[in-house]
Amino acid sequence: MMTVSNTNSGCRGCKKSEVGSEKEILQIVNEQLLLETDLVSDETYHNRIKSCKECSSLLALTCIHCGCYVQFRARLENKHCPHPQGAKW
Amino acid sequence: MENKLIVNADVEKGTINKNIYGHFAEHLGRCIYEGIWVGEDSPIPNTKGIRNDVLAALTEINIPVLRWPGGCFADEYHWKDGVGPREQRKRMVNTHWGGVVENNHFGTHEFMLLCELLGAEPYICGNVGSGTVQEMSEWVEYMTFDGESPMANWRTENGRKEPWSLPFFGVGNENWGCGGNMRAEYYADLYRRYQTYVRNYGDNTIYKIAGGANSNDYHWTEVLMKEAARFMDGLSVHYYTVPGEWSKKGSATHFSEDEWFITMKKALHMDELVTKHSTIMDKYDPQKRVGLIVDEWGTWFDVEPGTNPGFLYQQNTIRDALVAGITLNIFNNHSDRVQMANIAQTVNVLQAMILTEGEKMILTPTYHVFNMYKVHQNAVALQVDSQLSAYENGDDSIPEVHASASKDQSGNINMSLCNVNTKSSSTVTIELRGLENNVVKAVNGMILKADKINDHNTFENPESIKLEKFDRIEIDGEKIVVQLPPMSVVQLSAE
Repeated sequence: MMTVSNTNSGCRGCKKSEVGSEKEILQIVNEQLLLETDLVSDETYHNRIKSCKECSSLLALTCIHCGCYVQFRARLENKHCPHPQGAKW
Repeated sequence: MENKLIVNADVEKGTINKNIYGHFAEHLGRCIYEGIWVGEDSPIPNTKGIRNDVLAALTEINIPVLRWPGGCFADEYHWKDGVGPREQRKRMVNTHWGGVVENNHFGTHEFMLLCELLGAEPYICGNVGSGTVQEMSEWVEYMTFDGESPMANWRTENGRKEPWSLPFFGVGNENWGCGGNMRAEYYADLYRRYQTYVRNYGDNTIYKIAGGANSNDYHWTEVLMKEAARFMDGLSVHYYTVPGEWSKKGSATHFSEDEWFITMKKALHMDELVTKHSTIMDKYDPQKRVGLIVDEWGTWFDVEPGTNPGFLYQQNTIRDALVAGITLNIFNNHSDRVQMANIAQTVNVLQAMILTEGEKMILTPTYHVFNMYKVHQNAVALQVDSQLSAYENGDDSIPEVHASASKDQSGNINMSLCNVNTKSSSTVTIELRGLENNVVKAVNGMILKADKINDHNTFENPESIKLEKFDRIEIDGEKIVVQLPPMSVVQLSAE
């Protein structure tokens, strides 16, 4: 007989990756950025983030149009704002 | 490598239920919201709130049935929150998936509209885990009762006089896990109780699906069949292809040859699961009245770097295409018991057909497999015998080629072939037996292939992997010889 528990049951909801605190998320984002090339300058990054923070499509740290943490996406040279009403950066 | 297939055109194994090519769309991440529903005021072209580009792409692959609203979400979903004027619907946080605000703008009416526009049949999953019998019963009444009743009257007030047709209803989801952490024995009794009030009103006949096992939990299937088989039409099972461990599943796009092999081997495990669950079902239902419903399947990798982990957003490579191809072949070959399957999920989640970013949309390799394989929907499965070379990885090996075949209403024989070998092309000799005059008149082919194991489509390069005409075909009497490139899915249609 199989023992079922929250930790080993294999159900998607029970096994989802936990969304951590803002500090934890930013730490993960920074670790991932170390693996990336073609990053934008601090000035460009801060301008992008300013737009994101003023945008109604931002859910905490996540852009609802692409699912990205904006602190990650805004650092990448080849990415743009995915807003359907027109890219803000 | 040399491979031989014998397709017996005169040995028919019964109809491949079109619903094997079904899909699953959950309120999770950007599947429903953004992926399908953008709202009527969106700058993205839409039909009553449903984005047109996604609608057109999904229409092309002939989705026969669509499962909604979950998934784990189903057992926390209260359908009354999602009807009536949209501006008055409840707003809440989707605690299960990514913490997004669920404004309930996509509810029962919008889902039924989506199905209507797609030409798909609705498969609604009810709430057992945190809902009541009354709530479930009233949902069915709301959707299907024709005449004077509180729920039918409310439906009319909300703009829909005629009842909808509701062919499929699931009584809970993953009730061993997110759907209530129940034991099989307890759920079997709850299933019997809840399904009693899932009524057939008027001409509407509901195919009732019981929540089923987690992959190889055969005890669950045994108990459900023993205690409740006579109250159900279908019994579900869920299985995901995860190359690593749940805590580190592996990247969708950066993986080794070893991970490719493990992924293929784990995808092939579906054959063992279907066989063993079917054997248990045979014990209680030798007539095969109750269908095995694989209503969640597909690849599950780590989310894309820098994306919200609760959104389950992953890229989709040629590896996913092979997983889709060999899994659909398994379902075709078990069509005596498998009556429906629903890949997880339609847009932007897990093994998706479509990925979106704002107004942009790309088709994944998995989409193209579903597009090729649609010829099998409601076709007659044919017996395929095979002598196959091995694809070896260290001391381990799996068959190199995986196939299924069917005959359509025009008499054309459609064959789907997958070469999982990453390095070698595969020569496949197909002997088509039982043809009129023992002669193949013509063969047309399509192919999905890639140069590298992680090739995929991106928003910058959306057609890196696309369907192409396949012409490495030779015909000799009743024999067809084809050369399958490494990592390819091929569809042949013989007249």
